[in-house]
Amino acid sequence: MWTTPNMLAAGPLSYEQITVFLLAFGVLLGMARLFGEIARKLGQPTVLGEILAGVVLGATVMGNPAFLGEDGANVKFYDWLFPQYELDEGGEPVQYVPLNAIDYATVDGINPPPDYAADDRGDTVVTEADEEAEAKRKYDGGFLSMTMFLNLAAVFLLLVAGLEVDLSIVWKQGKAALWVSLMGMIVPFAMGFALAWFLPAQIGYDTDSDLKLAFALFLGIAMSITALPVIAKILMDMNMFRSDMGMLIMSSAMVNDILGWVGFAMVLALVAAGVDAANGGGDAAAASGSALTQMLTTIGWTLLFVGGMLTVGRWGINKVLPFVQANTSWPGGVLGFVLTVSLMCAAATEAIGIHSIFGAFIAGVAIGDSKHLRRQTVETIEQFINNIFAPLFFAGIGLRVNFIEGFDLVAVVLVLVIAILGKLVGCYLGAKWAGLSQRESAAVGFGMSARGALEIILGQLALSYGLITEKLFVAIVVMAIATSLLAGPAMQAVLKRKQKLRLEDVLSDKAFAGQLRSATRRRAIEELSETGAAATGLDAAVIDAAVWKREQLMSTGLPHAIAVPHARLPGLTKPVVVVGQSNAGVDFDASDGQLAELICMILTPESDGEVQLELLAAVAEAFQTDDARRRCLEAENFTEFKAALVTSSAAGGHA
Amino acid sequence: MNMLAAGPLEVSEITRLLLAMAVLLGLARLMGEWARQLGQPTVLGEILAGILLGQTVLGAIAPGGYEWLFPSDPGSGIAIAEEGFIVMSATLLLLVVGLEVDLSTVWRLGKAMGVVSAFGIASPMAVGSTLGWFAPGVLGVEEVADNVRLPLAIFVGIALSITALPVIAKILMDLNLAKSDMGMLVISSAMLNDLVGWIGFAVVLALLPQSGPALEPHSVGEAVSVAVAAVETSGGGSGKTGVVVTIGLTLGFLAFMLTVGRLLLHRVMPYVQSRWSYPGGVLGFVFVVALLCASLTEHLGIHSIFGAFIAGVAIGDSHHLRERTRDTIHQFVTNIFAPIFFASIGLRINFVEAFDPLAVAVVLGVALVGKIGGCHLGARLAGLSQRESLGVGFGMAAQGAVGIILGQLAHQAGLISDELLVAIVVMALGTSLLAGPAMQKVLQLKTQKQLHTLLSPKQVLIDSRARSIHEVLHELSKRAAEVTDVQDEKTIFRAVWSREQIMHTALPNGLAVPHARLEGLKRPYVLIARCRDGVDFDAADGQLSRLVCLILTPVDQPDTQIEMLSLIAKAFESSETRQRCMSADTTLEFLAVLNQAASEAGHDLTPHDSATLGA
Repeated sequence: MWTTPNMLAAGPLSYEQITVFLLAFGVLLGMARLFGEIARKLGQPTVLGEILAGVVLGATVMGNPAFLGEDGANVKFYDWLFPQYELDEGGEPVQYVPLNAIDYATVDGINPPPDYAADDRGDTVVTEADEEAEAKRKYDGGFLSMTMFLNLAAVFLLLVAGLEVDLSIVWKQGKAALWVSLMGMIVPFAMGFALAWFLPAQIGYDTDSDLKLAFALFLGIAMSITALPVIAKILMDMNMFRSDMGMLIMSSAMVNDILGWVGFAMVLALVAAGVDAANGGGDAAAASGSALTQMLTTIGWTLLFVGGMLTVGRWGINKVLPFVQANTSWPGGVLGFVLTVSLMCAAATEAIGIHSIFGAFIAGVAIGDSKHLRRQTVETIEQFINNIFAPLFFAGIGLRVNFIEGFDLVAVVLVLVIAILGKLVGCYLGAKWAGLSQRESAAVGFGMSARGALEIILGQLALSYGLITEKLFVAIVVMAIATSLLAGPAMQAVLKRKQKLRLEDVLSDKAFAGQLRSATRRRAIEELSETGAAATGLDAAVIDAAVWKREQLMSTGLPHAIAVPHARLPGLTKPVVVVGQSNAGVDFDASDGQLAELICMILTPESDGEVQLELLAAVAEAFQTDDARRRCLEAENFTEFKAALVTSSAAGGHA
Repeated sequence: MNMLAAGPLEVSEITRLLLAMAVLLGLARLMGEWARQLGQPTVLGEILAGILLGQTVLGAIAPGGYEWLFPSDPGSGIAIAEEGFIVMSATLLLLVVGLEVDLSTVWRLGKAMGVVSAFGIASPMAVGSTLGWFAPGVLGVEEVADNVRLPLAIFVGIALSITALPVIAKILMDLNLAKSDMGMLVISSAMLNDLVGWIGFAVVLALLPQSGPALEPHSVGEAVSVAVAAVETSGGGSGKTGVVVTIGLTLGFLAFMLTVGRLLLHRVMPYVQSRWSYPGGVLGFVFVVALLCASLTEHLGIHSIFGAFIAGVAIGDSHHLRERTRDTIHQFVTNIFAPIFFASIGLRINFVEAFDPLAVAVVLGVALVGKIGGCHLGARLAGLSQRESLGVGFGMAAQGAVGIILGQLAHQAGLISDELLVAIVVMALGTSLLAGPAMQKVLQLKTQKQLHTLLSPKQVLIDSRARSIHEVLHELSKRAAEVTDVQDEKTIFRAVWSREQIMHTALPNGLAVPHARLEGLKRPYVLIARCRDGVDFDAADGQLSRLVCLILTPVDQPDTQIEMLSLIAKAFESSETRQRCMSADTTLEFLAVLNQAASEAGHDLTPHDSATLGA
C-alpha cells in the first residue's frame, strides 16, 4: 500500500502522527457517544456507556493479548491507534535523548541518565535504571497530545462542576445543610479510613510502599465525596429539584464536594511531600522532617489559594464580569474570560503541587457564584464540555486500564458496601438531627450516596499518582457507577414518588399515524384507532368505541390546534399515544375555535388512573410553543416527528 | 516531585502547559477585543498577540520565559502537546467554516469561482516560478544546486499562490461577510486554490531528491522526467506515483463527500436527533464525522483542515442541523480554539533574525501584486464590479498559517534558505494582517453602529429620581455638560427644552428621546436616564417614560439624529431587554445588557448586502 512520505513533518508532530491522533480522537469520541446513548436508552447513566467504550477500545478487550496473543491483530491495531511510544524501524521504542544530555555528567543535582547511574548498590539500582530507561522512552506525539486533551477534559469537567455550586444556597440552608454534609462526610470517611487501615491487602494496597497513611486518607475521602451533577439530575428527573428537600440535598452535596476536594488536595500534598523526601535520600529523620515541612508548605499554599479565591477572587471576578460583558463581544468575551481564569487557577494549583483540576473547580465555584454570569453562558460551556470533553475523558479512563485483570470481587464488594453504608448512616443521622422525618432522612441518605463521575476522576488521579493500584481503581469505578444507578430508584422507593413521564417515551413508530385523510372528528378517531390497534394489539373497534364514547361526553380539543381524545382500556398493559397530523385540520370543538392539526390519542391501562392525567399534561407541555407545533406538523415520518419533539422540548427545558 | 509523574507529562510540564494556554488564550482574546474596538477584524489582534508572545518580542526580551512557556525543542512534551492542540484548533475552525458554506450558492457561483481561483493561482505562480528559476539570488538563495532548481521554482510559485483558508474565513466572519455571495466566492475560490496548492506541493516533494540536495547530477533529468510522468500521465511504476494517488484520492474523497456523503448525513441527522440525547448526540456526531474526515485527508497527504472543511460543508447543508447546535459549536470554536490557533501562527518565528530586506520586499511585493492582480482580473472577468474585484483580491491575498507551514516544510527538506523562509513567513503574516483592513477599506464596509458602543458608563444615569420632564432634562443636561465638548449646561438644557416644547418626544413602551442639535459638538452623544418612577412624556400609548435617552448631535450632521433615533429604537425593541435594563444594578450591568442584546439580535441579521453578484 502507498504511504505518505514521512518527511512532511514541519512541527513536532509528523503527518502520520497527526493522522492517527485525529483518527483516535474521532474513534474514541464516536464510540463513547454511541455507547453512552445505548446506556441511556437502557435507562443507565451515560457515563457507564462512555467508560465501557474505553474498555472495549482499550487494554481490556481490544488491546488484550489474552485473546489473540502478543502479536494478535487486535493488539497491533490497538498499538497503532493508541500508541504510547514512538517506534523505530525495528519496532522498538525510540529512546529519548534530551538536547542537554551532555550536561548531565557535569551538573550536580540532576539525576544522571541510566548510562551514568551504574554504581555498586546492587540489584535495586539496576531495576531503577531500567525503570528510568523505561521512563526515558520517547512518547509518541499523538499520545502526548491525547494525554493533554484528556488532562484538559478533566480540568474543564471540574470547572463545570464548580460552576454548578451556588454558595448562596448553602448559606440559606444553614444548619440543616451543615449537619447533613458534616455527618455525611465524617461517617463514610471514618469507615473508609478504617477499611484501608485494617484491611489494606484486600483492596489491593501494595504493602511494600510506605504510603499507608495517605492511602487510608485517600480512601476515606473517596468514600465521603458525592457527585453533584448526578444528584441534580436525579432530583430533576423526580421533579424535586426546587423542593425543600431537593435544595437541602443539593447544598449538602456542595459543601461535601468543596470539603472533599480540599481534603483530597491535602492528601496529594502528603503524597508529594513523602515521595520527594524519599527521593532526596539521606537519613530517615531528616527525610521525615523535610516531608513535614513540605507538606505544611503545600497545605498552607492550598488553604491560601482556596481562601483567596473564595473571598478576594470571588469578589474580584464579580466586579470584573460586568465590565467584560459590557465591553467585549458577546458571548465570546465571557467564554474566553471564564476559561482563561480557570486555566490560570489550574496552573496555579498544579504549581502548588496538588492537581490542576482542583484549581479549575475552585475557579468554577468563584465564577459561578457571581450573579452577573448569565445562565446561557454556563449552558454553552456545559454543552461543549459535557458532550465533547466528558465522553473523551471517560472513554480515556477505560483505555489504559485492564478491567478484567483488575476486577477483584472482594475489593469491589467491600468498597461498595462501605460506600453505601457510610453515606446512608451518616446522612440519615444528620438529617434526623436537622429535624427531617424518618422517611425523608433515608431519602437524603440514598440521594447523597450517588458518587458518579467525580469519584472516577478522583480515582484516576490517585491511580496516576501511584497511590492506589488497578484493583482498587476498578473497585472504585464499579462503586461509583453502582451508587449512581442505585440512588434514583432507592429515593423513589423510599419517597414513593414516580419519575416524570415524558411524551417521547410513550411514542413509537407503530403508533404514528402520519397525515390523516379524515376531515371529521368521527372519521379521525376511527383512523387513529386503527393505528392504535396495530400498536397495542387490541381490537380497533373496541378502541374506537371507548374513545368515541368519551369524546361525546365532552370534546377534547385544546387551544392552539391540539386535540387529545383519550380512553382507559382494559387489557392494555402500558400507555400508548397515537399521533396523527392534519394539515387541513379537524374540528374538535376547541375553545379558541381552531381546527385541530395535531391529534394525540391517549390510550392508558384501566387500572392506572393517574397516568392519563400525566400524559395529558405532557402533551400540553410538549406542544406549548408555536415552533414545536409547526415543526411537528411538518415532520414527514416518525423519526422527524420525534426529532422535532425532542429538540424543542430540550430547548424549552433550558429556558 | 518528578516521581509523581506517572503519565507522560510531568507535573511541572502540565503547569507550564496550562499556563501557556491561559496566557495565549487570554492575550489573544484581549488583543482581539482591542482590534474589534478599533474597527478591525478580531483575527488581526489574535495574530498580533502571538507575535508579542513569540520569539520576536517575548523571546527577545525574556528568552528564558519564552522557552519556559513555549519550548522550541521538538522533543519536549509541551511542544508536542501544544502542537496537538493547535492542529485540533485548526481542524475545528475549518469545520465551523464549512458549516457556514451554502452549497447552492457555491454551485451558482461555479463559473466565477473557477475563473477567480484559476487566475489567483496562475498569476502569482507564474511570477514566483520565474523568479525562482532565473533569479534565486534575489530571494536570498545564494547557491542553487542544479537538481533543486526546478523544485525550488515550483515551490516559490506555490508558496506565493497558496491562500490561508482559516484566516480568510475568519476575516469574512469578522466582517460579517461569510454568508454573502462575495464571501462564498472568496471562500470557495480559496479552497480550490489551496487544494491545487497542496497537491502541487506534494509534486514538489516528489521531485525532491530523496537523499538531500547533494545528489549526483544525473538525477536532475530523472527527477524531471519522473515529475512529467507523474503529472501528465497517470500511472507509472516508480515510487513517485504517490502524487497521482494523492490527487485521485483527494478528488474521489471530495466527490464522495459532496454527493453520497452529504445525502447520507442528511438521512442520518434526524435519526441522531430523535434517538440520541439532545444536543449532545448531534454535537458528538458532527465532531466525529469531522475528525474522521480530517484524519483521512491528512493521511492522503493534504492537510487535515480540508477534511474538516468538507465535512462541515456536507453536514451544514442538511437543513436538519438546528441553528442552536450550530451556534454552540460556533461559539466555542471561534472563541476558544480559534484565538489559540491564530496566536500560535506568530509564536515560533523570529522576525529579526535572518531578516533580508530585499528578499522580504520581493516576496511580499510579488505575493501581493500577483495575488491581487490575478484575482482582480479573474473577478472582473467573472463580472464583478471594480470594487468587489479588488475586495476579492485582497481577501485571497491572505496567506497566514498555511504559507508558514509550507515554508517550514520546504525549509526542513533543505529546499530553501533561512532568508527565504523568513521572507515567506513575513509575507504570510503581513498579508494576513493586511487582508482584513484592506477588504474593509475597499468595500467601504462600515462596522454597524450599535447603541452600546456609543455609551460610556458616565453617560448612563442609573438612578434618576426625576418625576417631571423638567427635572429629568436638567439632570441629563448637567451630565451632558460634563461629558461633551459643550461645557455649558444651560445651553444644552435650553436647546433640548425648546425642542420638547414643540412636540413631546415620547416613544411607545416607556421610552422617550428628547434631542437637540448643538453648535460646537464634534460627534453625536447619547445619554440615558433611567427613571424608576417614570416621567410623563405624553406618550401615545399612555405609558410613563422610564428610559429617557437624550440625543445630542452636531449641527452640521443632519442625518446623524435620525440614525441615533433608530439605534435607540432598535436597541430597546424587545421587552426582555427593556426589562433587564430596568433591573440592572449598575451602569456597567446596564451596558452589558445592551451589549448582549445587540449580539443576539445580530444573529438574525442578514449579511451585508454590499456584495450581490450576478448569477
